Amino acid sequence: MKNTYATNTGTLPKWNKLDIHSFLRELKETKRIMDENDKKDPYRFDINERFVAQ
Amino acid sequence: MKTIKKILIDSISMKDLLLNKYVLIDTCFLSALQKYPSRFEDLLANLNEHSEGLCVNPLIRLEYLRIAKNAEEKSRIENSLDKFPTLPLEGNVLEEVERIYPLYNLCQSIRNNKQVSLVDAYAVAYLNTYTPRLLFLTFDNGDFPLEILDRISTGAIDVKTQIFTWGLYQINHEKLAKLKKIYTGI
Repeated sequence: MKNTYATNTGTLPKWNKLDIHSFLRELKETKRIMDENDKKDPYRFDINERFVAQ
Repeated sequence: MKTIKKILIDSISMKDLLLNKYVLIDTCFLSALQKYPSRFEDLLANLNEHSEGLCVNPLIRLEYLRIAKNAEEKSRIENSLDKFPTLPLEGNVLEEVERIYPLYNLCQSIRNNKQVSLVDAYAVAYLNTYTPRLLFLTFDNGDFPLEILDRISTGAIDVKTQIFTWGLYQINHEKLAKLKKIYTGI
């Protein structure tokens, strides 16, 4: 069956793999800063609430 | 976590599934990574090791950036996102989303009585554009109907307060063609 949806038009280049440890270190630091910001401002919603909608 | 790691590493089929493939990661996966980094580290590492690479698209980037509440947070999150290549938002994808969106909406409205988010529609359009080399990883399995996609692998991660069930998806062109027939009558 001919399939008009199989475009195969995109090509994906080679790229460097993610440095997991550096990435997770950054994430943890960002989360720590966001937690601190949340604590400083009582009207800011809790960090855990940020992720609910996603 | 060890169970998940074992399943991923030992499973020849999982390695086969990821061989020469790229994995588009959903916003919910990024959020879970940030919230529970140690719980998702093994899954991330295995996907990264066995696939050609992990990536995002501009819509997923924007959606994830919503969690930033000031410039410093935004800058930090952007730096983290920059670790992943962002697939370009180009003509092919725009044409694909225009074609796929009504079909995607059709099956979601019939089955789940809900409308499809544009971010999800774009994710599917990217899968179609970069077929067969792009897979999609998400926890929002209900948002990605099997009338369009094949769920080729799945697993669960227990973070104590909840259990995340991830699904790895690829586009199914025959299913799309069937939906098109229903939609257009041709």
